[in-house]
Amino acid sequence: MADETGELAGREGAHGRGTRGTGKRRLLAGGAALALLAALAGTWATHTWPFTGDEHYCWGAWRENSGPDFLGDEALEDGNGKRVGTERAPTPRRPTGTCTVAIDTWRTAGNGDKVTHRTEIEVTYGPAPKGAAERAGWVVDHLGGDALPLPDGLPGTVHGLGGTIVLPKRCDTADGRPTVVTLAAGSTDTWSRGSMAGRAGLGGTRSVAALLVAAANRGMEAAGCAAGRPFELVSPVLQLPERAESLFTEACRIPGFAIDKVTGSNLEYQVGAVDRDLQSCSVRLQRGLGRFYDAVMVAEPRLAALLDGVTGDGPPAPGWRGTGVFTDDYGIVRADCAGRPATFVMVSLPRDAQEAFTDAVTGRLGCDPLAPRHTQPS
Amino acid sequence: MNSNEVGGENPVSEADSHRPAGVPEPPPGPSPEPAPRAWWHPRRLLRGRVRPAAAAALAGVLLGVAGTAWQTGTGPFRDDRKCWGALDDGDLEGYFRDPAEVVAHETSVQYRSLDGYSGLCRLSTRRGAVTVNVHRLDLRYDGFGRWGDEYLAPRLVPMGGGLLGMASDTRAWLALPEGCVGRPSLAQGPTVVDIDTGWTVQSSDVDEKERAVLTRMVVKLVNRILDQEGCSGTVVDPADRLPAADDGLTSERPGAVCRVKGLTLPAQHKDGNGTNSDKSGKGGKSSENGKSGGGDGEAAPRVWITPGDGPVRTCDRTRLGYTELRLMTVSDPRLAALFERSRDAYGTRLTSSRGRGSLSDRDGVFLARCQTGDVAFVARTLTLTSSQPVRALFPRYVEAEAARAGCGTLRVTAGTSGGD
Repeated sequence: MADETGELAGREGAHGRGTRGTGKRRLLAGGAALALLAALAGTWATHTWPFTGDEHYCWGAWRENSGPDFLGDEALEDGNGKRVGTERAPTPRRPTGTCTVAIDTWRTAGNGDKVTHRTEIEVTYGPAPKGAAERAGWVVDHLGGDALPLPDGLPGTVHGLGGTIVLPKRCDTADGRPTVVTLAAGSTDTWSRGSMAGRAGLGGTRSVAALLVAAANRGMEAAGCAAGRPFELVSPVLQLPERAESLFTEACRIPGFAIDKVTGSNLEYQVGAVDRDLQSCSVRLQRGLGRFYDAVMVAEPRLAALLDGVTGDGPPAPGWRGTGVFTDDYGIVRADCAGRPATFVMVSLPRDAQEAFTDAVTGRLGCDPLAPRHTQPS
Repeated sequence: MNSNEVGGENPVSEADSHRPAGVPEPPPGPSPEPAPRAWWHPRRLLRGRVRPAAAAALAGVLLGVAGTAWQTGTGPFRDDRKCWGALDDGDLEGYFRDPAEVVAHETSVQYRSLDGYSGLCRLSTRRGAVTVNVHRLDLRYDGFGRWGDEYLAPRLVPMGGGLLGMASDTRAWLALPEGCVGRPSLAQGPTVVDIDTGWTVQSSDVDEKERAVLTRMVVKLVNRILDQEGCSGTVVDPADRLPAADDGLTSERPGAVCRVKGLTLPAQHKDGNGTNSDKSGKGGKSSENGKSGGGDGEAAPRVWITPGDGPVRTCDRTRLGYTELRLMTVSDPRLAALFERSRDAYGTRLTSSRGRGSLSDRDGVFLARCQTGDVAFVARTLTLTSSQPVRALFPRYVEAEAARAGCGTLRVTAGTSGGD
């Protein structure tokens, strides 16, 4: 191949002039056309550009056979499976959207039992819910648990099976709520006797973050609020969440965040983020059997904007600092802390646990407590 | 190799076909060639159909050679980056006068399931050497051992930005991102890449330029390992935003040992001249104080404290360039684990509702369970004869620092010696 091109070039230089050139040119053109055809046939046969035949998913954000396992051929178990993408992209007129990638595979286990595996990855584009109670639940679901902040200071969180990113202000809804892109994945293996969680093949926390950021950037473009400044993910994930731990005394090792022993014996706690932008503590029934307590503090401005409009006008309870609303089910309170507003969302927390959580956060951030002073356990 | 075939299978080049190579021919019209050349002249040898063939062959050979060179990484494609291909000459320039003179001896970064990662790279010239070590910190030795002494010293500043790493102009270290190598289990320390320039400087000013060079090197090494492990993401170099190291010129105020507010020395212990004046009189106590009091007259201790809000706050109290007392608060649980095995090492038990430790006249360790995980508090007397007031100071230090580290209010009580 290399010799041929060199030869052709050399001959062109020596004999390019005169009548004899026409025949030679024709030959050259023919050769070039042949080479092109061969190249095209090659790319078509090997499924490379421009004949990839690869599907695109999530508004063009992800491509088949790129990145994590669930987008690759391996996910399809040698042909015993299919991957189906469905999507509705956001538009400037209707800035909400969804997309899903569902993978179904089937194989026969050693005992002849048929095992089916289903993985579903869903991305949504749209605002957080409007009502205060729904908003509170949404915030603890997406910013609590084992979610940790995204790398590079991106306004969102990520964990092994999903993530959340808050889009810039220019993508806010007309009523001022931020637009959010979320990713959530689930995976189950089912056989004749039952089912259990399976491998989703998302490729770990860093890979989830990359999938989320790509979908957010494509979503913003489609909705017409990209403004030429996409989110950029550079850094690796520096820290992974700690494991959930059985609850014996204090939830999340927070002084005074205690739960009586009878209830506590079936509970576990998960410490989430603990930094100046985001802090969270979740208490769950063991083995993923439901949620018990959730507490989150957000100070990162874009994440805190998720709670704009539901933080009330007056103190949430007598003696409390800041503004907020405490109901039987949830509590939201916002107060200045060390120079910026800190917003607390607490779901199902009794009053003493609310005090313990807010005290722990304000103590760490270095500002006055929100709750009226009470006798502190030592 | 196929130059003849190509010429032969081309029926159009009949102009060439009836004139074999090497046969003289009259010069073409427009060409101003003065005389026929000798048969061996290159122009004549490369005449007619031989010329394109030779050109093709030459091109082929060149491409082949270039391809081989590229594949084997030789010639112009030679990769002379050092330490697993992480550091180029530009990276070494800030530290070595002539990067071309640097010789690298490296053991590739390997992984063993029980022991984790290990790799070593030594960059040396005739005048000095820099050692790069990739290893999992050992919970048995590395806290109180040489690693903790040197790599957690207050000359090193935290890299910030969520990175578990620190740097000075003689040492730098950075943990591998957990998203790549996983979170260490309870029995494991974090895996770090560290750089040691050989010198153990304690008191002179930190050369920020050399510190930036070491920081950049350690970041590039970590990024190279991420790459080799197939992990995505690139650690962003924090070298330009490192805080200034403590210059040791800010003395501690009375009643604030190591600038910890409210941490006072016990009344019977006086620094400097106080111990001097009564040292010859009494027995045990004065001889203990002999070294620290003698020779330095009224000199107050100098204190060096890790700046910033990092994983470690180390305070070295020095006299005449020797560290007498080190007080540490290790607030990152991955590093606090390095001190856990010494928690019960000393005679006097320390207890509180959320942690425990032990204490002797010279040393103390306490681990508290806090929201971020375990936080370790450490006191060490580092001179042989000086008696530092560790026994009286340490419980108060733990209480004061626990509040700052976000562990809430702790009450530490010292029990009696537990029979050991």
